[in-house]
Amino acid sequence: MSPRKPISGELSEAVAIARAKRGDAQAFEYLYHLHKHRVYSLCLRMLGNAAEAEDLTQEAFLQLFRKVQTFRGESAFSTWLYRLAVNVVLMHLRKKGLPAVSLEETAEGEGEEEPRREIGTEDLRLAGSIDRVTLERALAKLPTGYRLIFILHDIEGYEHNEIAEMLACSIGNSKSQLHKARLRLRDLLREESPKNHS
Amino acid sequence: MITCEQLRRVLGRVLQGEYEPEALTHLEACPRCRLLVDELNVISRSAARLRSYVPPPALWRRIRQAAEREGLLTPAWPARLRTAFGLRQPLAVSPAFAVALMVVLSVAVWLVGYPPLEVSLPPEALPSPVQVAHTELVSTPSYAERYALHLARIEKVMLEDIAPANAELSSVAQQSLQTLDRFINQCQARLVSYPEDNFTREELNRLYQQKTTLLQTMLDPDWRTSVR
Repeated sequence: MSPRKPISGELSEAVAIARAKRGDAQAFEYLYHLHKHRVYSLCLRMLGNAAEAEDLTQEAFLQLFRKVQTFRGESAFSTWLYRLAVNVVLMHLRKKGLPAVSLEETAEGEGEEEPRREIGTEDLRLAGSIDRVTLERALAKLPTGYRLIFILHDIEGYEHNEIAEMLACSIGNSKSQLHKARLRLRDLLREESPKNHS
Repeated sequence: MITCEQLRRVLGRVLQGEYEPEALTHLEACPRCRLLVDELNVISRSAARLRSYVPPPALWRRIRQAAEREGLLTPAWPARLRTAFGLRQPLAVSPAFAVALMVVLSVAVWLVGYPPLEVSLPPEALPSPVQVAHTELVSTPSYAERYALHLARIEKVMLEDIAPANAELSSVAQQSLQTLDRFINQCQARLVSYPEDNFTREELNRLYQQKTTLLQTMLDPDWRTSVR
């Protein structure tokens, strides 16, 4: 059996998806390498543990291999795969019994949660940008539900309608949770600032 | 004008781009609330620049093996090994390969004018693979090591016994063995780095079988007589 031609050039992902539906190992490998960073990053940021992140990344791609036949192109492939990965993460968190912030809180809850520190306190460290390590550390402390929304929207760039579909919530809830996540992150970052440690 | 507390209640919608004229008026007048908005925007912008993490290279191997165990993928490595070695046909077709090699060797020896064997080795002087396996190799730990010792023993006997009297045959046989050895070494090198690569291990075992068949053919006195 002669080896298949390598996948390259335009429409590479489309070709790979078509081949993957026929069980082509090379196509699956191509899709894996194309999307491994985002899936693994999601798992690592949600679990905070490399070994578990690898396990869940493996499970997410196995789900892809099992379900690739059902992909109809109604959304971008990356979105479809990411949705699989999010479900794998959420199922894992439920199995571990970790509390996930409910995404069914209504928009009327917005504003009732007061920031833990007085707003408006001058903090020059937040004036420009935040270094990656500090932000990742604060992100790791966010409650699970807030963290997921923040990762999906601010890190991965998904729109609220896509997030709502992924998480089976309303667009309003997605927006509300994102705002709360950012407020909570701001508090965590201020706790980390040197001014507050002096 | 609305208060800072009232601003906070609608701030989420403002940051999402919804038009709240009273909130905008408040922000123009209130530096503290403006700082809050600026800080939230900095957080969002900084998040967009966070890098992706790279999973370890071994993860793909784990995923592929798990998928193959489930029957989701067809094995990739045998085909890729053959591609890497520049072969179009699988080596695993052992009987056909052995027969083809015998034909090639026979023709080569005939063309060179191979002299009749003057040293005749009785079959019982040559250890059979089974005998070797049962005597020297049972204590070695791994299958690959046993096979390697097995073949080394046969090769040693063949080259020491045949080579002095039959230089041409020895040369052709050695070239064939060197080709197989090159593939065997490549598989072995890969298994040093990836010991759990079962596909390479299977290919290695097939190569050992090929080499065994080749050596057994050359050890066969009837065959050596027939190529005179």
